[in-house]
Amino acid sequence: MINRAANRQANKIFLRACIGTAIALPLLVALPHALSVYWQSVLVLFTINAVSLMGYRLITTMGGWSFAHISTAGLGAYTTAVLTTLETPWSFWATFFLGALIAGAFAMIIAYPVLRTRHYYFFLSTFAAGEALRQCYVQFSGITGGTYGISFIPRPEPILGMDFGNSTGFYYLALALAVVVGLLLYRFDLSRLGNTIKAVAANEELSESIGINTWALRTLPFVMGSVVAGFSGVLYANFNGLINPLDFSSVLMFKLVAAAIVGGVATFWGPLVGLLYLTALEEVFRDFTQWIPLLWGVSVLAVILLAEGGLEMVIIRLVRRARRWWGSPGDRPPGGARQRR
Amino acid sequence: MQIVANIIFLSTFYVSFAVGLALVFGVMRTINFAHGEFYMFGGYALWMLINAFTGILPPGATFIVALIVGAAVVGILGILVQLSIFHRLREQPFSIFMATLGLSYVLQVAVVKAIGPMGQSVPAPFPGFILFEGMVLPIQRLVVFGFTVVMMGGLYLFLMHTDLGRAVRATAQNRTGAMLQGISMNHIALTTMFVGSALAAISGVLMGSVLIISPFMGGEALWRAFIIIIVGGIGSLSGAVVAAFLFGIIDTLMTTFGAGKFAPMVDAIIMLLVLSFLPSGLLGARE
Repeated sequence: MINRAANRQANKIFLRACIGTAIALPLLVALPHALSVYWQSVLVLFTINAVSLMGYRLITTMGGWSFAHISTAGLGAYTTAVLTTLETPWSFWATFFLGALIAGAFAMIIAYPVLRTRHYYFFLSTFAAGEALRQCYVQFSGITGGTYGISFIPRPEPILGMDFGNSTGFYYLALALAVVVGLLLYRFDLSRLGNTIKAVAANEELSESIGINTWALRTLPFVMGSVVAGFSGVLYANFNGLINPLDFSSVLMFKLVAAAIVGGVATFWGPLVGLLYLTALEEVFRDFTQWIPLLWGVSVLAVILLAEGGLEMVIIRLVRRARRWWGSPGDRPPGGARQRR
Repeated sequence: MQIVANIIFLSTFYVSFAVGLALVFGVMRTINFAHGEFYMFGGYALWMLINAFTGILPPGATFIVALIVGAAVVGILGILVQLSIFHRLREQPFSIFMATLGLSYVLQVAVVKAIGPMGQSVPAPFPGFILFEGMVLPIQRLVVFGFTVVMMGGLYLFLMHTDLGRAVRATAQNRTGAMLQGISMNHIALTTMFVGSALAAISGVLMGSVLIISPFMGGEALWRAFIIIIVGGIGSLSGAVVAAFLFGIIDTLMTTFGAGKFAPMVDAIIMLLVLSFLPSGLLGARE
C-alpha cells in the first residue's frame, strides 16, 4: 500500500517536472538564435557538461565520489574519434552508442575492486585508476595519437534533415540528449530503486541486514553514471573536432566535483546550479584563464567552510522564507517541526 | 647493475613522497590533497635559494639550507592548514578532503601566477659522476638517496623513541584510547601536520635537485603516491615503504625493457588486484 502511494507521489512529481520541461523547451530551442557564435559554443559545452554531471550526481547518490568520471568520458570520446577517422570511417551514430557502452564496460570492470572501498578511500582509488587510464591515452600513441591526440573528427552525419555541422544544430543534438537523460535519471532518482540506493549510502550495514543486495545497488549507479559520461564524451569529441589527453585532465574533473560541491547533491538540480555558477565564473574571467582553477578552488573552500550543503540549500532556504512571507499554506512542515525553532 | 641503482633511485623518490601522505592519513584519518603542492613548494624553495645565493654560498651548502628552510616554511603552512581547515571541519573527513582538493588548485595557480607555468631546473648542487662496477652513479642522486635514508631514520627515531612520537602512534592506533591517556588531540594533529608537511617539502627539495620543478609536479606525483599508499595499506608507514620499493622495481624493469608505456596501466591493475583480494592493502590494519 505504502509502495503504491509512494509511487503515485513520485509519478506526480515527475509529471510536474515533465510539464516544466515542456514549458522550458521552446525557450531552450530558441536560445541559440539569440546568441553570438561564441556564446553558442559555450552553450553547447555547457549542455554536454550538464549531461556528464547528471551522470556524476547519480554516482554520488550511492555515497562515492568518483574521480575517474572524466577519464571514463574520455573512453567515449576516443572511441568515436578513432572509429570516425579510420580510412573506412564508421557512422557517428554507431560510435555514439558503442562509446557509451565501452565507458560502461570499463566502469563494470573496475567496479569490483574500487567499490570495495568507501568514502575518500573510494575517491583515491578511482583517482588513481582514472589517472592511469588517462596515462594510457598518452602512452598508446599508436591508437590515440599520444599527446597530440586525434584531429579532424567529423561532425555527425545529418538525420531527419537535421544538420549538425553548425553550433545550433549540434546544440539541438546535445539538448535532446540532455532532456532524455535528465528525465530518465530524474524518474530513476524518484523511484523506489533510486531511494534504496540512497538508503544503502546512508547505512550500508543496516541495508544489508534487511536483505538488500548492497553490492548490486552500488554497482548499478556507478555503471549507469559512467554510461552517461560515455555519451557526453562522444559528443564532446565530435563537437570539438580534436581531442587530446589534456581534455580529460584532473582540472576538468575538478570542475565537475566543484560543481557538485558548490551546488550540492541533495537535489537533482543542485549540481546543475553549481555548473551554471562555475561556467559563469569562467566566462566573466575569460581573459584571465590561469586564475580560473583558483576561483573554483576558492568557491569550493568557501562553500565547505561557510555554506554547508551548497547553493541548493541557500536557494531552498530562500524559497521557504519567501513562501512564509507570502503566507502560502502549502509549505508548512507537518506536525510540530516548526516548534523546535 | 645499473638497473639496481635505478631501482633504488626511483624507490627513494616514491618513499620520500608517499611517507608524509601515509603519516598524515594514519593520524588524521583523511587525505591531505594539497600534499603534492607542499612537495612542489619544496622544489621551488630550492630553486629560489639557489638563484638567490649563487656566488654567495657554495651550491651544496645552499641545498642544505633549502632543506631546512623549505621544511620549516612548509611545516608552518601545514600548521596553518590544520588550524584553518582540518580543525574547523574535524569529524567530517570528507569535507576536509574536498577542501584540501580546492586548496591544492589555489596553491597551484598562485605559483603559476607568481613564478610562471614553465618548468625550471637547477644545476645539480653536487655535480659529477662516480663509475662503480660498471654503474654510472650521479653524485646528486647518491646525495638524494642519502638524505632520504637520513629522513626516514629521523622519522623512525621520532616515532619510536620520543614521547611525542609515541603519542602520535597511539593516536593513529586508537583515538579514544589515546584520549583516555590524556593525549591532546589538537596537539597531536598540529605535530602530525607539521611533520607531514615538512616531509613533503624535504621530498620536494631533494627531488627538485634532479627533476624539473614546475607548478604541476605535485599533481603528477600524487596519483602514483595514492597507488603506493593504497597498495601498502592506507596509514601504514612500513606498508608505504614496501609498496614504494615494489613499484620502484616494477617501473624500473618495465622502462628498462622497453615496456615503459605499459607502466601506468600495470601499476593501476596491481592496485585494482590488491583492492580485490586484500582490500586493506599489503600491511594495512583491517578497519
